[in-house]
Amino acid sequence: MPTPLVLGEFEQLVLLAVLANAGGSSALDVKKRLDAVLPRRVSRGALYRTLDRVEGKGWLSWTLDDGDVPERGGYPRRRFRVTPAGIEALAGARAVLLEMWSGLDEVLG
Amino acid sequence: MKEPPRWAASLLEGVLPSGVVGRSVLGDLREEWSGRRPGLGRDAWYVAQAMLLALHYGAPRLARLGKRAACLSALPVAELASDFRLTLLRLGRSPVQLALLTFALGLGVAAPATMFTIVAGITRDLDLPDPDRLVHIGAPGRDQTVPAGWLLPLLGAADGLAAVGLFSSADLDISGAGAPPHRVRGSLFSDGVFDALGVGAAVGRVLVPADHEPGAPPAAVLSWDLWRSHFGGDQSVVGATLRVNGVPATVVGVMPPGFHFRYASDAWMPLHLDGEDASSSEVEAVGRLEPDATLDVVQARALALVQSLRSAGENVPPGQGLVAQPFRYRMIAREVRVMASAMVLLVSFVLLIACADVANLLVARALARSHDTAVRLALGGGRWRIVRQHALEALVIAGLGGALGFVLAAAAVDAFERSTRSFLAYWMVFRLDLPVLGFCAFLVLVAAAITGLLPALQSRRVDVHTALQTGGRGSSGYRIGRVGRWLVAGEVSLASALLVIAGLQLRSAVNNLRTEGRFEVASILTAAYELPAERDGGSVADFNRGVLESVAGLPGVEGAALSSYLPGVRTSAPRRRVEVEGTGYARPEDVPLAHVAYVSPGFFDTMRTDVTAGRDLSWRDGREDPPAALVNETFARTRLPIRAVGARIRVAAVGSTGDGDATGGWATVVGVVPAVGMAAGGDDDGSGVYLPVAEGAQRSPALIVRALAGADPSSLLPSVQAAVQRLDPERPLFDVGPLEQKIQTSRVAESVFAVLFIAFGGAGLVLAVVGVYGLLSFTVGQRSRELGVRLALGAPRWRVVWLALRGAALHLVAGIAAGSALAAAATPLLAEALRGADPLDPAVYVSVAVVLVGAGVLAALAPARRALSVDLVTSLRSE
Repeated sequence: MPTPLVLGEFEQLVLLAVLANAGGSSALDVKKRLDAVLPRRVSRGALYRTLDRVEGKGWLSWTLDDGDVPERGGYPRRRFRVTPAGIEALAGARAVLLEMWSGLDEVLG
Repeated sequence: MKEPPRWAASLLEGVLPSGVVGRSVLGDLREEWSGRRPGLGRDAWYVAQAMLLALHYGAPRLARLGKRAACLSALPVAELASDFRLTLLRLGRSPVQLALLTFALGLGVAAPATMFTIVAGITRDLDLPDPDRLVHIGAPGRDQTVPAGWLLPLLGAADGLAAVGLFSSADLDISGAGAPPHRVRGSLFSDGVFDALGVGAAVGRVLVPADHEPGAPPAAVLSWDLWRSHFGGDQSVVGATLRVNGVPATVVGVMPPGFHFRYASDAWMPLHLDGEDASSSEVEAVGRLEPDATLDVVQARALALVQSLRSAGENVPPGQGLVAQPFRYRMIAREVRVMASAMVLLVSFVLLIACADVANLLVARALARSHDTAVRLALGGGRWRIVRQHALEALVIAGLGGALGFVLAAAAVDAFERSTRSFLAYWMVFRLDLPVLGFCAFLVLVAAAITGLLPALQSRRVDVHTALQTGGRGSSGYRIGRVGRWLVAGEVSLASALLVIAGLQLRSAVNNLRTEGRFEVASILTAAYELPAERDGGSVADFNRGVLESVAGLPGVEGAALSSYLPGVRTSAPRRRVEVEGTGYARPEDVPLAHVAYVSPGFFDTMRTDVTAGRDLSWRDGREDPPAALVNETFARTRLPIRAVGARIRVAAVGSTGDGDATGGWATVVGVVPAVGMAAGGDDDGSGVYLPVAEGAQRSPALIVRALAGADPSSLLPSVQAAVQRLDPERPLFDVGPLEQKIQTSRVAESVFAVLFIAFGGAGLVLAVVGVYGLLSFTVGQRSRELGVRLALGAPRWRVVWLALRGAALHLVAGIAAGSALAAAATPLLAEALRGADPLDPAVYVSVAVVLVGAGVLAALAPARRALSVDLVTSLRSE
């Protein structure tokens, strides 16, 4: 099944990091998750741009957290969730990757 | 709570998408910042992240804007880009010159930007509704409180005021509701103050009339910061009962963030005006004008009040009555505001001087290139493009200078904020925000216009024929006028005057240190507590001794002592009249003053100084043994020249009868000690006497605790606090901190002043060097043909150099002379800051002259070398 929009590598990582928290993830949660897994540090600017781009493609949505967190100095917090379309895109990408991987286990060890 | 650097946050906010998306990004950054370890590193991290993010969000927008502008104006983008590259290459070829130019302009931008920020901060209004309708009523002058009785008639019928109330300051010891006991600065408000200020509570309510009724249960309102820091922002604190100064009080509300009326208050309680001594307590009044009323009505009312007080027999000295003035002028008088704005203008002259310097140097650079320019013109190059290249050069330098200036200003404002925070009112915040950034950008444009225009316009005057014929050496269209030369002389004189004053100030600091004696302040923690007036003298002495013994036994403590003053902290040991037995005094006023301090045995051990003659005080003195005292070496030398130990002295019971003001009997001097930081600076020689701490019934002594070598004294605080609270659970420690820090804080005003002069003097020096360098570069360039001919004809090299530099040397000497005279004339105005130094100290004047001549020689080195390297053959051939 062809996906109408292409899912980039970083976009895929970001979506997976958002999914890591069942109740939705803040941008900082996503950054922490990616920093822990990836061998390099994620650029903050790139992360925000990707979040907004992926949201534009309809794969992410966000809501504002209730209540005031003192550490944020009164600024709001966005909580991101992956939309059903996003899940579908991820599943499609996964299927493509698995297909590509199959039969290569011996070569790659 | 501390905030991340605001200027970085506002810069980022300007670039981020508007609305909740942008604000959430700011919040993320703020949250991560607050999770890091406090300190400079954390702020630097924030600035770096904010800049990176701003770049990330701003760059695409800028690129789009640039493309659109280029399309619209049909600018020759490729040509501009190549000009830009050429400019960078040219500037990069002489990095020292570029650094000088950047630094000069950086200083030129930083000085007015800093001043602008400081003035904007000082003249900022209170963050309250309609601050211009707030009126202050009190005594004129510095201390504006008056007895409450004077102002009471205002409360009933106040013409022209919609609301009015009285207030005063108080230290409040707060404990309970899960918070450890601590002391906060507070204010007492009568009914009407909150109404006049026009501010409500964020949680709960403010004080209401019922709280001020006689016999009403005590109510307290907390500041947002106190609520967050000590009560964890817990809503249930509202309604809870705390103990305030030993009395139960109910928290009725929490004020919104940023409210600390009147200077730095963290709690507010009712001011009761019905008690016995209520009418004598010192208060001020604040009112809010009715919408259609003017200040005149209130002023007339204040005048009438004074009249009626005088006629009622009250002693109101002339000029000491009541004045009503806009609240904003209460803090910073109108004249100061005008003067501050004038200062911004004045400091902007620094920028003008810097611009003139840079313009001189750029003209010299253009002169060196005039042959090149002539060739380009001869080959058909456009004059407009040459002008544009000059302008671009100036713009790049101005941009670099502006960026440096902004960074310098940010550092200066930060230092100013930190050193003045303790004594400026809470609403005076100093931040480099967008208006300041805009001001900097404006300064950069002005600088670019001034510095770029001169060489650019002059380049149009290049005479192609002459320039080609003389090979670019010799007379050309470029000029530096007489004005330019005298400007350099003026700069030198300014730098010299500022440096002389800075030098005198250093001298004064050194002299003051000398009278302070030898003691070791490192590793010392100090803290204070206050015992209630109900305790009698004996119980105070027992408590003090108990505290001392339990603190001295704590692990990590090398020694501990009690003292009525903090060594090295100015004016903490008051001066009183001390009589020496056997000396005849005609009048009580003839008894000379000396500092008087009450210390416990072991004080001198703890301060690491030795008793130089006789013995230390002991607990037995004044109890089992006769009363004893110690005198310091200065006192012994000046008042007891023959024999100090064994003499008898008496502290006269004069002045107020405050805490520790014991009426003295005769005490025998049992020992002599070195001076231990008693002097208040200036003409005060620091002579003083020490009495046993038990004698003065010291209700509020300072604990002085020396930590074991190498340990951080602050780490002792929890155990010291616990030791005091074991004796009295309600006794908070306050004024806590390392002694070293206390000493620095007590001298902040002096050091701000000294640093200011040194900074301005340094800036003046840099500008003068750049000016001399630019002037000499130009002169040598202008006269290179003549110098070459002289060299070719066999003139000695030193004469050629002297010929080239003579003019500038004259201006330098004239500048130094004028500057020294200026400084000597200005010293009487600065007498207060220069106490202890001879205003005509030749050593200072000579060293400043030497520094300036040295700087002049340095600035002349490169041009002199150029004068000697003039190519003989070329200069002769061009004849």
